[in-house]
Amino acid sequence: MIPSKIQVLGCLAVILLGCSSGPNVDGVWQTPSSDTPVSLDALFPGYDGRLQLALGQYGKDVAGTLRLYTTAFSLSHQFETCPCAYVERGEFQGNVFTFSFEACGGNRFIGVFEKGDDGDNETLRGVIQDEKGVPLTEELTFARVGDDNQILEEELNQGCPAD
Amino acid sequence: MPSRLITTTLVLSLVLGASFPVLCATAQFKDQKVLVLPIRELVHSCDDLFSPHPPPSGDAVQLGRFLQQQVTLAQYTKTISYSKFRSELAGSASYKEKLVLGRERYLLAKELYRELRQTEAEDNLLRSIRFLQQIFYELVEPEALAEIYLLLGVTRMELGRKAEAHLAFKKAMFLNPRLRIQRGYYPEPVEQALSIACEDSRRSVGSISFEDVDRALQFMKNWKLDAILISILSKREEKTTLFLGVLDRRSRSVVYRETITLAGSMEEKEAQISRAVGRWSACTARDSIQPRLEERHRYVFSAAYQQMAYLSYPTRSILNTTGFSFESGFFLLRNFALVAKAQFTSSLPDRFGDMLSPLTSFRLILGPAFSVSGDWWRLYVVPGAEVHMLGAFSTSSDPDCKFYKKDSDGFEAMCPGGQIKKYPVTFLGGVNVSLGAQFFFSNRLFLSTALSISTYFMPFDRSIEMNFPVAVEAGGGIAF
Repeated sequence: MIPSKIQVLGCLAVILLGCSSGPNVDGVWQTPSSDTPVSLDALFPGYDGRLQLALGQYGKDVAGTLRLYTTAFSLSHQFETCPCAYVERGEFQGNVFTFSFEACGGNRFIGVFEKGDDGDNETLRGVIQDEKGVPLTEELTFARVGDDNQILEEELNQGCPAD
Repeated sequence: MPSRLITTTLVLSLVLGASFPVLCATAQFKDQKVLVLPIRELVHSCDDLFSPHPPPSGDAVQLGRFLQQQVTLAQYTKTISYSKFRSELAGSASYKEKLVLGRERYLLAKELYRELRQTEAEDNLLRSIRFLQQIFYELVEPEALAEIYLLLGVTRMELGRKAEAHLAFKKAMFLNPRLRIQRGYYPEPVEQALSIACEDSRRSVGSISFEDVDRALQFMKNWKLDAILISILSKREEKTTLFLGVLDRRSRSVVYRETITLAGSMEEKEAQISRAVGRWSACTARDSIQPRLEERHRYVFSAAYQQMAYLSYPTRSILNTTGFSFESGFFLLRNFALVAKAQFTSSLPDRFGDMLSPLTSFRLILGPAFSVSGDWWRLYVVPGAEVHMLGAFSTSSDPDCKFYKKDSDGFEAMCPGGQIKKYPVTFLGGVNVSLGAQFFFSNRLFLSTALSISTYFMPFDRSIEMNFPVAVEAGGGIAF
């Protein structure tokens, strides 16, 4: 789509006024579907599957959801118990994305991920820790697979279904 | 109440605008600077060329004075006194130097001629003429230059180049129509050639009026003259005729050429000249003077793209809006106008996305405009009263209130009601100051730019956190 002159002028003016978007974590991020399923036994007993983050960033603040799937990223393959958790106190600062979430049973965990690039995709690499900062998982890698549009199309902005 | 205020002000501006007539500027023309050269009197019979008595004084001086007077009286014409012009010309920087060089060459040529070294004499005469032509000596001392041409003609005769001698004699006769030659001073063939040249100069009045147009145009450029009027009084079959020719610098050509037969008393001759000058004046193309900008326009309408930023805002980062501004102005006085502006804007996404819904707003500004202007530009300042209607909008700094779809489980779970601040439709009242510029690229069309700032005093309880919008505008318009 060719932007109209007014849009171009508007963008120029916005840029001139100092509003520009820097690196962000907006969008959909997933652990690789081809690799061995991630083991998160310490977090979700018996869980062995795949993770997906749907994130929206506003300034440094980040909101979103963490979803768990078994073999494929589709509704029919969602983890049976507690398939979804809300990203809370999400922040993206200094290229590091941190957030906390509450798992089944009320346990709270903290995710610390650094944004990087594996050559093909943007990635988030890090671990999930307990509240004391003890790592509970091996290093996890999320790769960006989509943006805001995908969140809207797949309605990943609906939140976690109420029990 | 606010809607009544808007309606009243709009109606008031329309009534005011309609009650004043459109300004009708009258055409103005630039003055034309004209040099009227004295009448060249070619009325004396060539039979008297060898007469020992000087030719009688004719009407040329009186008619010349009258001609100058008539041209001076012509509309949009500024004449220069010939005597003043001549003294200015003679007082110019290079004049004396060139005059000395020209005269020295002439004296040397005379010596050489006496020593029968005609070829060298001719060469020095031509050099002398070139020096003197550079200072337009023919306008200061035509008789002295005629002497040089006379000697040039004689020299060429002795060199056996009769045709070239004829041209030199003819030029001498033209420069000094009152020239008298002592019978027997020159050999018979020279006297004969002089007589023929004299007759020839009397016959070809029109063709010798501007011999070298390029040189004349250069002269006019140097002296910032728009036109030169030359006049030649001559006799044709016992009738006295006056040739008038006008060389125009702009068109680089003779724009007027007329020969009138003068008859009757002096009053009748003057009347004929007066009519001829009138004809010339009427037919002269003139540069019109563009009236000053403030005299040209009474109504101004413009539209502009506008970018606005609120310096006081309800979000965490500066709030920008974009929209359009429509402006109308009516000039009550040259530099004083009444201006009404209507502006529609919509907010752009803020940096943190705190604006949950776009803010649309409409504002109306009414005030006097004070302006200064040049030929193609106008600068103005408008201190005005402003009414600003803000549409309903809501803000939040909680990312959960922005990410989740409204009415979704996520929104309900993560965005409690208190995290969203809702603003109803609000009217703000205050003052606006605008600085602007208009750049005219045609008589009526212009490009414009403006910078403005507002401050709001109402509502008094300061319930709205938005204030001090700074706006820049760029657009264009029409004025008439």
